[in-house]
Amino acid sequence: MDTKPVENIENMGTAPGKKTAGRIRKLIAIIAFFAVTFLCVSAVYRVLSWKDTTGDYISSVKQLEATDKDLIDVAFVGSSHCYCGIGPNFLWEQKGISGFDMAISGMDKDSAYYNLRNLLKTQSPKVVFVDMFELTYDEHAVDGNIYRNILSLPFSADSVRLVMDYAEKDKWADYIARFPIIHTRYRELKKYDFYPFKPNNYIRGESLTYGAAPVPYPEYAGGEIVPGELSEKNMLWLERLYELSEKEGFELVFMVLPFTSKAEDQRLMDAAAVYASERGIRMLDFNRMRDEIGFDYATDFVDYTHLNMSGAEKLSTYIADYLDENFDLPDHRGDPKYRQWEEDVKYNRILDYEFRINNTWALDDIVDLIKPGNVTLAIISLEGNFTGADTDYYAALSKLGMEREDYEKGGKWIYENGKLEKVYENVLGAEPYIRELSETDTLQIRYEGDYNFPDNITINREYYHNHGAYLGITIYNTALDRVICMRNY
Amino acid sequence: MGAALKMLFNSIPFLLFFPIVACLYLVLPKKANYVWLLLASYYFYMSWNPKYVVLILFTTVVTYVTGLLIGSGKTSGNRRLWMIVGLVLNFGLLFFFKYFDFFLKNINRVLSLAKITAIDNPFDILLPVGISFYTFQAVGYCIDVYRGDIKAEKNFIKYALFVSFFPQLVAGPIERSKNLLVQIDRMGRERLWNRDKAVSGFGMMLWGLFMKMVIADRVSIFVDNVFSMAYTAGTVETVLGAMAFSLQIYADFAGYSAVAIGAARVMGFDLMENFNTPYFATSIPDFWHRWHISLSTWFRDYVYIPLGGNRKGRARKYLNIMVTFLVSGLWHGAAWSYVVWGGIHGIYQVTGDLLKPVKTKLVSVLHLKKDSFGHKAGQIFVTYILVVFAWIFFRADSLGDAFFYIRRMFTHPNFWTLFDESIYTWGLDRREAGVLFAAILALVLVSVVRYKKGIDIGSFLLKQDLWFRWVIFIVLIIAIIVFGEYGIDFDSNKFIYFDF
Repeated sequence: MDTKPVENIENMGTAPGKKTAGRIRKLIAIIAFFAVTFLCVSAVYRVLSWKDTTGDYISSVKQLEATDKDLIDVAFVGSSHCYCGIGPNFLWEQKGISGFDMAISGMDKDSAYYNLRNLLKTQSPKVVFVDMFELTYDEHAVDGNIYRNILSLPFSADSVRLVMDYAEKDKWADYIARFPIIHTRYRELKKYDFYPFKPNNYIRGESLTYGAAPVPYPEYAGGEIVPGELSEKNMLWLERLYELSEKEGFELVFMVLPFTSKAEDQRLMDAAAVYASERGIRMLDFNRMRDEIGFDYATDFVDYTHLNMSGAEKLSTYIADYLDENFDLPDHRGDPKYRQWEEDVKYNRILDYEFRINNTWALDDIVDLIKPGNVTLAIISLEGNFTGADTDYYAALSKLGMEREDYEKGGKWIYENGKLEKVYENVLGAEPYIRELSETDTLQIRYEGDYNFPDNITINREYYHNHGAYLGITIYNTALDRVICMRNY
Repeated sequence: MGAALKMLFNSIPFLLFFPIVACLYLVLPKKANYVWLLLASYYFYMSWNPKYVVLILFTTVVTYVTGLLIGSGKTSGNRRLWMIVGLVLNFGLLFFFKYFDFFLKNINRVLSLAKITAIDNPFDILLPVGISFYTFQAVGYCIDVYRGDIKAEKNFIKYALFVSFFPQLVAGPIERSKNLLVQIDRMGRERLWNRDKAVSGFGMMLWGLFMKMVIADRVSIFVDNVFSMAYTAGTVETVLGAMAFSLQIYADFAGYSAVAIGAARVMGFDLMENFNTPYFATSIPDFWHRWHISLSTWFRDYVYIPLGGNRKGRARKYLNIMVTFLVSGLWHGAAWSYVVWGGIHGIYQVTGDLLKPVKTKLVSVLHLKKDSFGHKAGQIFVTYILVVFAWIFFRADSLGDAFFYIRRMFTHPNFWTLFDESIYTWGLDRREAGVLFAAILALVLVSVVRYKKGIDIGSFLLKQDLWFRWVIFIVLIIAIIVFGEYGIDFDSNKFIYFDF
């Protein structure tokens, strides 16, 4: 170390005016340094910030941020029960109601309260439904749910209060500063940490699920109301919600989204019902109302606690009718300000399409699904002795407009928006065909020989070649920028 | 980050504490500065454990009073008596808190050989953080006053600040009264702070945190795995483990020292240098001129030279070296493995001195060019290997573990693990190893600058253009934030030297 005292150049024979100017310059430099550092650290934060990587980067908090002021008429607050069970897209399609699921996996009581407060900063919903399932637990069983709930909320006094209400004192600093938790995400960064996940611009909080699993009939949710005892924390939560509704002037509705409840769960739900009736709050226990709604416990659930698409459609339809009957909510369909609700409906149709195409195997059926071509781009690859194969590929491909002469030569085609274009002949050594499919995805087609050459078709560095088959079809979703299906025949 | 308020340099509480202390220090009147820093230092120390404050107060009061008594002593016998009183009381306290348990265990070992019932330890003693450091600093002051190197400090608050100055309180550098106390004394009359020092100190702090959080704590994952599972490690892992520990302890302690020196410099204080590219040393004596300089010079000034140094013949010189290094080993911890580590370094020095004529002869016979790069690189390499070998005793949990580790090193050659990637299963995967190598590259670059230009990173950056300095600062901040080992899942954030 240089132990000589560092010279102070500040006071070396300068005139007072120059001295002041020098000091101001230095002050500006310090402020500028901290400003630049802040900008750089903020940019790093945006990349590393907690994202629901197991939930396909979907975030209702981000979706709320993307929503203009005062558009949401009905908010649904809850956990995965909520985003799996209530589809604002159905409410929109059926009644033109602008609903929104303010829902996060495992949402706890504190998170529900502060996320609702956060929503109320930009929105003035007339009705707010809050799921009572949160009464059944005080703490999260998995760290992922703590992070989802605590680290999603934008920085604000409320985000600090949420930490102080939920977390243990010795962890406050880590949760408030966030970097101590999220910084290790550099080990798992992916495309959507750097690029915004586009559907977050219009999804309305739901995340509807396909597939079905038979679940037991919730036997405890019936008969007389037998209220259990509400803990101090549960009582405080209900009180806070009630006070918030009084202060902000929205109609508060308690709901119990369908799940296979145990006896003690149902007693808590019943206690909430008693509290609600004392306060004049509406209460909809969808477990108790199961027959009225018509749930089929063999086909409407994906597991014990979550409805699937079919169950969500039944429940959402019921809620849409209920809102229509009990509240004077405007029909916003056709109003350009509500384009996100329109896009959300389209998005769910795309997901439905993806589900269907992923469960379709026969070439003819796949071609029929590709044919409309409005949300997909299909890359069709014919290689090898396909004309001598047992399958007549041409019969199916001709439906897309393929000419016999072209077919017999083989090659690579792109089918998009109802048009088929041959983009590559299978000629060894020919220049590759390159196309930017999106901001982040680049398609490359080349010919290195038949069947098994991975480089024949790549998107970025992923291989979509024929895998030993004569005909390969890769289907890319242009709305969501991803490959949704690949078939080889 | 563990307990909420512990003032680890790499903790959020310190991140809040330091700017507040430094800013108020700047705006308060000059005469209030040392009172403010004393309050801050005691708050800092009490954040570890409020009860510890009694110990530091005891040390402060004892050495303050004995200092005054030594200073006003009429006869040299009188002065000597008070110095001895000061030393006995302070070392007594240190002995009780640090070595009593170790001492009793060894007594019991001897008693068990004689089949006598063991003595129970009536105390449940926790080692107070930083006690070895501030005790040595305060004792050094008494000796300095006794020698007449410095006048006894009459202002108790200033003296108390000298003993407890928070940047170097818990892990050094062990300051000399001639340096730090003199600066504290100047505080009431002039401002020590200036912008250049603040910029240079800020750079040092960032670099220190980088060394600790990005390098030391990352490499410690590998080191801990190898040392705790040495029974499954072969030659490659044990050799790399020992080398990795040499990196860990350097980055950890030199990183801590850099933050300490930087924090003090931000406020205008010049603390003594503690590390000077130690792994570029060309001999073991050279290593000790570069490693933990504040401690090695303390032992030189207050132990080795008073013992007679090299003035009383060769045999006595070797004895003095051995005594100094054995005591130095014991200073690091109450365990035989530390004593052996110190002993090995003593033996290195004695053997090196004895072999000097042989080395000179070899150089002459083989026509070696002493000034060539190759010769120097060879010396650096040999010195490094010797130092790394000794570190094994320092790191192992016991002497038995150290010998077991060394045996594995020589009996289980498994060079294929370098090529089949199984080396990445010891805690650092490819990505983490990549981050570590990039950080080591930065460390080598900074070390080369230090070695070639003779200035630390803070002073070096101060001489650069503003834009370059900003880029380095921001890169360091982001590297620490992103690649630093910290956060809820990380619990290995203690500085190694806090236990000494």
